[in-house]
Amino acid sequence: MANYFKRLRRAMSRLVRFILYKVRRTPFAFQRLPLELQLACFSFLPLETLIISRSVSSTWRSLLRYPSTSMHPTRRRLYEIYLMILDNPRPADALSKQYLSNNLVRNFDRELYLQYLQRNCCGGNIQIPEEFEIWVLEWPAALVINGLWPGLPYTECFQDTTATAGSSLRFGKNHLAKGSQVQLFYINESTAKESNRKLAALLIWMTGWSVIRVRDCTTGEYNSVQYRGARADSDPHMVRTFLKLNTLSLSV
Amino acid sequence: MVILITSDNVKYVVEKDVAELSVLVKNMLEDIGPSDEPIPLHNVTSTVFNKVLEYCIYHRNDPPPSDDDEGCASPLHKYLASHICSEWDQRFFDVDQALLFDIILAANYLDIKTLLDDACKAVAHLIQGKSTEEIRGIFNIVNDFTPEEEARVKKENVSS
Repeated sequence: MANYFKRLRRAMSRLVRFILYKVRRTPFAFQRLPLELQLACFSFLPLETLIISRSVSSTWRSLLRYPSTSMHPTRRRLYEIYLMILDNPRPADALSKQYLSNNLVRNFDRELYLQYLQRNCCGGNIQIPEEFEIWVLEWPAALVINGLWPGLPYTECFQDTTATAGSSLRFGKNHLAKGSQVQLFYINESTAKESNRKLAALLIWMTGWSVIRVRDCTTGEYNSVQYRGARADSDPHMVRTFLKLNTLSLSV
Repeated sequence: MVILITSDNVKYVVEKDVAELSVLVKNMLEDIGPSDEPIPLHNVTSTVFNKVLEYCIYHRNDPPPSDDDEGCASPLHKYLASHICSEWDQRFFDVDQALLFDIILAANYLDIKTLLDDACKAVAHLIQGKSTEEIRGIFNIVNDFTPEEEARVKKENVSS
């Protein structure tokens, strides 16, 4: 009986060795593809996976050193921004990151947020620019540009980033806008109760960005933000971008 | 009807409109003119060609991809790995990795743009949303960073 088990065990270990041998014999199938085809596969990855892929191996890292031309144009620009942030780290970014990890809305549902915008802005008549859509959907949660990210609680964010990242009011080069097609008109605040505090979304498709935090003189409350944007090729239209603190309360 | 011969000498008789989904075959047919000569496909084995043919027959009536929407106006969904068009396509690409990569090579050689894109999407779908470690596991990639590089790489990683 013991002999039988010994033989069985030996057979099993031989089988395991054989399988391992087989598995090891067919490795690196992806690496066998010509580089341009590997890049073609990368071009379908969302931004976050692209960034993560950079830390897989040195080969992948060198493949992803520059954004490939087969990527979606907006995704390519976002990826360029990411690379730029890496190359030019600002001292305040670490603080922003720390702030972000404490204050980021974890259950921020990006799809839901876009649906909400689509349905509730301008009586459901706005066409959300694709650049903005990709930005909201794909920008990694833990990545900060100038202390701003669309998922941050509005008032805290701008109070704190004034202290940490110094970016409560910032006019920036727009890396996403195609030329000066889209322009930021002004940002204004309208009334809202503290209990119903809204979050601001960063409208990065505009040619510059700024935030004006106005306190309601009569009530002393901080209010929701109203962005006004206009496309050069159409009539100016209002874009209200509200994001409630708790995205679960968005009506679907 | 067009006669195609794969690298392992298997003969296929394919309808002309299906065969012409491959730009390579289409150009060859134009070059040689009407003839019954079989066309050799040196870089494709019959195992892979069976799959390619299956795809081409299923998609034979699709509208040809237009070139003018390239660049800025291209819709996002074309670039999303999660957006593999139909259930049929999903089942079609549910094969082992080696075959999937062979399909990519064949599609590239035969110059079938839609198949190439869809197959690349299927590969992207495998690693989309995965962590670095998971990706290494899926593609059997060895982490070849030196400890110093590794430390730098870790700092860049954005997954929270």
